[in-house]
Amino acid sequence: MENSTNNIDLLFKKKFEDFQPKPPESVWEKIKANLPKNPIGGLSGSSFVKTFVVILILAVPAYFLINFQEKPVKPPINKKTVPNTKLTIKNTPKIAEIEIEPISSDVVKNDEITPTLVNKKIAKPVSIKEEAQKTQITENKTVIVNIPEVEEQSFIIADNDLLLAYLPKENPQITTKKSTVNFNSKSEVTVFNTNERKKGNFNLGVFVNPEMIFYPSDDIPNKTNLNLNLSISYNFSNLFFESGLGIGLAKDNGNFNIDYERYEYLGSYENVYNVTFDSTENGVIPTFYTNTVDVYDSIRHVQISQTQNCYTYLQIPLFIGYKINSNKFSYSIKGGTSLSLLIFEKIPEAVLPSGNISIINLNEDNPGRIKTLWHFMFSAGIEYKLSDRMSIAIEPTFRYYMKSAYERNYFTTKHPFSIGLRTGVLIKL
Amino acid sequence: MHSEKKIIEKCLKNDTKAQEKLYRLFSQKMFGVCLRFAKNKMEAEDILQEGFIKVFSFLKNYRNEGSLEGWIRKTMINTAINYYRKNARFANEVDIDNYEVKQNVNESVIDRFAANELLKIINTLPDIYRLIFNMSAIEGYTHKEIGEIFNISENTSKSQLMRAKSILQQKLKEFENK
Repeated sequence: MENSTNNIDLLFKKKFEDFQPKPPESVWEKIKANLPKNPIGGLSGSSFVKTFVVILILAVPAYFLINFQEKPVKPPINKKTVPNTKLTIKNTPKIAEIEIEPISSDVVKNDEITPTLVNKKIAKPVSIKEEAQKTQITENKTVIVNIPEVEEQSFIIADNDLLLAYLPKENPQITTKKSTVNFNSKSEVTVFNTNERKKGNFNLGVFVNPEMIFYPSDDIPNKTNLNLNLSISYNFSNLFFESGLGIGLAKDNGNFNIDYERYEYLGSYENVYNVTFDSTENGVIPTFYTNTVDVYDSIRHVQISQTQNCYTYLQIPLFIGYKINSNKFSYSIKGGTSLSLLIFEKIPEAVLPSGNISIINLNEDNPGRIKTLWHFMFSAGIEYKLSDRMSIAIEPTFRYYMKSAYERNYFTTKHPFSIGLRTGVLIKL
Repeated sequence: MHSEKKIIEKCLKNDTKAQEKLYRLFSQKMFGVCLRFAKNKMEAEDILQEGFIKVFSFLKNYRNEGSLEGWIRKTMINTAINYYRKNARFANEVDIDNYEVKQNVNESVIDRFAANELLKIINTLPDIYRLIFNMSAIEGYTHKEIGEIFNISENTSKSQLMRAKSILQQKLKEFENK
């Protein structure tokens, strides 16, 4: 027993100084599952990249769709013979109704309306005098314009590419409604048809969609969500594409198990601190001197504090659908995917018991939500036209989650689904 | 140090990557602590898990006054104490002097043991002996602090430590004779 020492403490301490065993990987996985999820400010790098890519994917087609919409469609210029015609403009404030009738059946030699006839974009409105004007358009074509009871008339200025009016031989008298006549300084006449429709159009929609989410494998009450969406759809013939942005609001009940001790009053007892014995005729009588002693002790309690957690998701949908229009009503079906990103969560602190307490353990038992969710969504809807530009819509929706919104250690359902009713207003742009 | 501060800031924003970084930075050291306080590996894992959840939950309370490692270590030890205090039973006080005399351990004996083997010996101690031995002998808690934590007198703490050391000494001798 050489080198004997009674300092067993130091020997053990020294031995454990560099003792650093590696814990199993499962420990971190369990910790991660129990940690509060990050709000929008804490989006990790990979999540940010994913979000950026999705937005880019949506933005690129949207950009081309918008450009396609804004670029004027060039209608073919009709290369038919223009007879001598008389143009009568009936008075309307901005859009003139034009009646064109032939003065004679002679056919002009020029076989087509030459580009020089067509006005370039005119910067300011042109006035038209009251009296009828006789205007030489080309050598062989005369147009008489009668504008009764009109002192001064402004016309919509249009691009020369939109020249649409023509006077076919077979139909010498044509009434072109909602057309615009433009006169330049040389009294040349250009007739534009503003009634021409573009093939596609955009609709802007504002929707509210309350949903009920079902978790078939879990014995829990069904959950409700409220979604608010701003959608933009592009109609192309009967097909339409829809995207937009939405906010999804969800709530969960959370529990905190509070294991604590409180120094509490338990009661009191009479403490005998002295006894005296007095001898009387009847014998010895003891007299007890007492005082009251209060008893306190640390009592252990377990309390469950219930909280309500709120979660906000940013939703980016992308749908394709088919629509049938009939008078006031339109019927549609659509399907697609929707990406939900958890952008904000509010998890209240546990409400601690009052008084002088000492917390032994505080366990948070809140269902953890995952940050990125993909869904498939299908709906069938009816639209009712309130006016040319505005309609209301109602759509029952079905949403199928590609994975559960919760961490797997809380819920066993892999693919929850939800049923909702989407209602809103659509405005034609 | 600068990067540690950055990691803390990110952890406070619940950045999962920063939390994982912090965990990787200290998990091995803390697992060593947990293994000493725990009865077995499974319980040590539970304590480590619970401890780190507390670290991330209450990181906002860390005031940069001491080292972060010290603060995390204290959280782990408190978690371990809470884990076992429910079942902790204190034996009667003993005459400390009697035990002081018996505590002669040959240094070379301990040198022969690997940390893992010593750990096995510590793990065989009853809960309260193990806790007090770890707190006092290895972590450097005073008997006053231990007394306050377990709501016992300093003498009780001292006598528990003596018992623990005595058992350890006995076990070491048994190992030595094998």
